[in-house]
Amino acid sequence: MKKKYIISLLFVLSVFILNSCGDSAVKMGTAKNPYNIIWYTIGTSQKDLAMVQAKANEYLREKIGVELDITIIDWANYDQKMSMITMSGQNYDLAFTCSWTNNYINQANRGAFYPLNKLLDEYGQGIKKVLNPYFLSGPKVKGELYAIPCNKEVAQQQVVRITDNFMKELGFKLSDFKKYEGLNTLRSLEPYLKAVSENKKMHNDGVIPFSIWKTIDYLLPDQTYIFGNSGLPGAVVLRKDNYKIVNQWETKEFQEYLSLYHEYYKKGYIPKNAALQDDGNSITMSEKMGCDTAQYQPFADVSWSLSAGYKIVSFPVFKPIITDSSVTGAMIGMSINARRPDLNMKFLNLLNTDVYLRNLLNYGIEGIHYEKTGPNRIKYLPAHNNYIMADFTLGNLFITYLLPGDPDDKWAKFEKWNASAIPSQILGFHMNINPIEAVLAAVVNKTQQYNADLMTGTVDPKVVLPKYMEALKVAGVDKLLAEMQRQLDVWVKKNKSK
Amino acid sequence: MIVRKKSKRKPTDISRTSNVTLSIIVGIVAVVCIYPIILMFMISLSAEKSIVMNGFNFFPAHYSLEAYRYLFKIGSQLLTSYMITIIVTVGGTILSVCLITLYAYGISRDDFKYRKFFTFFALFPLLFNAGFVATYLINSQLLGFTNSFLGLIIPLAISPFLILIMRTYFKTTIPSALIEAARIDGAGEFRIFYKIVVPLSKPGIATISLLQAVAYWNDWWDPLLYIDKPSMTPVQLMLQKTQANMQFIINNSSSMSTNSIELLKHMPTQTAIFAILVLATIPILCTYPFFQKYVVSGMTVGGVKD
Repeated sequence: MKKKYIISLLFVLSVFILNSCGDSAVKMGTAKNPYNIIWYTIGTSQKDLAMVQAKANEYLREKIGVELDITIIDWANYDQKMSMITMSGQNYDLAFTCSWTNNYINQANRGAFYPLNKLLDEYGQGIKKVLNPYFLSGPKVKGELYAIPCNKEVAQQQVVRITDNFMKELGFKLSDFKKYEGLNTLRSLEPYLKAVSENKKMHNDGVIPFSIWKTIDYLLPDQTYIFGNSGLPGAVVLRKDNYKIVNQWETKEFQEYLSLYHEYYKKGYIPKNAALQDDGNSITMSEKMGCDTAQYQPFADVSWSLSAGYKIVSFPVFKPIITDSSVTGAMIGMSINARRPDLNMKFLNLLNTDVYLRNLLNYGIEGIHYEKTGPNRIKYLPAHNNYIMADFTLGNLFITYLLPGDPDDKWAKFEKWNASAIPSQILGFHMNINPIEAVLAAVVNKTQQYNADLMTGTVDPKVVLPKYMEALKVAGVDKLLAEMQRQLDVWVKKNKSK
Repeated sequence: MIVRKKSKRKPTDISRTSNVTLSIIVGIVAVVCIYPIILMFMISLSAEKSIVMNGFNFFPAHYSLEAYRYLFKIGSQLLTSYMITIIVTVGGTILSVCLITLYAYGISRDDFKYRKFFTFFALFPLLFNAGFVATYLINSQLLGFTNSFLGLIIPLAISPFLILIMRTYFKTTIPSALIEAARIDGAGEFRIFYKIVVPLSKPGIATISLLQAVAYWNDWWDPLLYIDKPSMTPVQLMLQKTQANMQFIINNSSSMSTNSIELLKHMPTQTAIFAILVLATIPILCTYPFFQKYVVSGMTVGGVKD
């Protein structure tokens, strides 16, 4: 019996050893012996991926001696799958990462990604040239960049969207509303909201004056939130050289917003089930939206109108702000286990600067998936349906071809808008949640209970807010804020005292 | 006539009023059970527009076959997925029923020396296991389950719970005298097993086959872990993916800083998801009647007799 055990043990061990026998990656990187880049990205699986990949490999083999092995993981499963892959130490080279899935900050803090500062200097000169500088400085974690952001809009800006037909029908103009004034902007909406709710025909059609739902990106006062717009406590009022952490729910500005929402709710502008509604998309799509709020980027009005099938216009509530979450919206990270970081970096550099490669991966093969109608303008062919990629996940957007309907100066406008954005004074500060995870979980629990009710105006903040604050205290919010302040102070000392 | 009818009643029959009330109650329960399935079918026949306008409705304002037309459009993927699911269900069920019955039969025999150890060996993971990161690590790195049928079949092949059921079943329905008699007649262990034990255990085997077939048919978790390639994606995973993707994009549209409606445009509509759901549910529903007569006896056996 014992002998058998030993034999089976030996067998298992030998499998381990055989498995871990590495190959010599050092010699790879030539056209004859290309290095295979295993790249996980997000999207939906595409029929023609293999075809496009083969075409890209032909080009890449000659150019820098690498080949791609792309795996597209579905939107919803990406987070879970990537955490499995990183936790189990599986080999890969590149992976999509950002603030909303496969969380960049957490993965970088955990040491899952390869530090890129040195590589960027050595092989990434092209990236440095084309990317907005805030993209390279903002996402640094402890002074080190761990992923290359995709060049796109660098800031976020909240706007109010209005259905153009309704606005005209009720005799309003865009100039009737105040712009860039936050709370006042929101207040200036009231006459319009009133007109919509009192209009008999619209009322009968079920038009909702102010469409808000549970998962909407709530319109919040002009502060920088440590955890993005999730409503988790921890914010810094947007002012130069202000590094004091506050609980936004306790600030006057924030409470004024809540009161205003509650007022709108009582007047019937906000739907009764707003705090329970998971999705407002169907309201927008069926042209029942008086107005709502959204994140803007140049030409968003056009694309919103195109996909909804009727004209939508918008006006800004705030100036565009560059924040942590806006610079980590879409990035490509390199695994700490990547065998040839230099070749990976060479590839990333090419992805951000090489027009042919970038468009090949984005739109597919010319003559099969699209045809050219101008020097940098294309038209889809029917086979496009077999190769639809999420363009913002694949590197520099500003060198992709234009589609019918896009203005000639599309990317120039983007760059101009990017240049007009104001960086938050704490851009580049990332909270490390590891030391305070238990408290954070308790706080998150409480916010889930109260946030939606308060932010949709469903409950009276005068009554509920004190209860909420009490519950947060019990959950340990003071500890969380103190830890935040401590980390921020350290960061300020390091980065701002020059 | 009324008198004659009355006299026809047997003494064990229930009275007419209770018969009617009971029938109504059972009828309501039956309707409640079947309602969601019919609703699912009706939604798949609705026009997308009427869902957007009025939500899910038993009698939609407009009917449309658009959803099924969409299924034809993605036909090749759907067909592949269907093939994968069928292969996995049939292959997996056969394999796992073989493994489970053999294992359970072994530990049900009192004259098997290591019976205690192997019972413990099967039941231990029911209470303690290493968690799924370790499982994933072993299965994907060491055993190479990624993108292969192994990853779809092996993880579900042995179920400690079903081993327990079968062991009890063998213990209670196969008298050891029968096995001794067979041995005296000159039968070897294997002949005893498939000539005597298996035919006598049909209800039990049918029960675990059904349970395993349903488990394989409905499994999307293991494919989610081990399958990335569309050519190996079973129906349930395909369904889960389309449904979850849509939800994910809607929920994250603001942070994705792109026009999410543009992304949603290329995804199946709500009605199409329900059409896939219809196709994913119907076949497994159809297998129930075949197994039913065994299942009842198989489930009630175990611990009751003897």
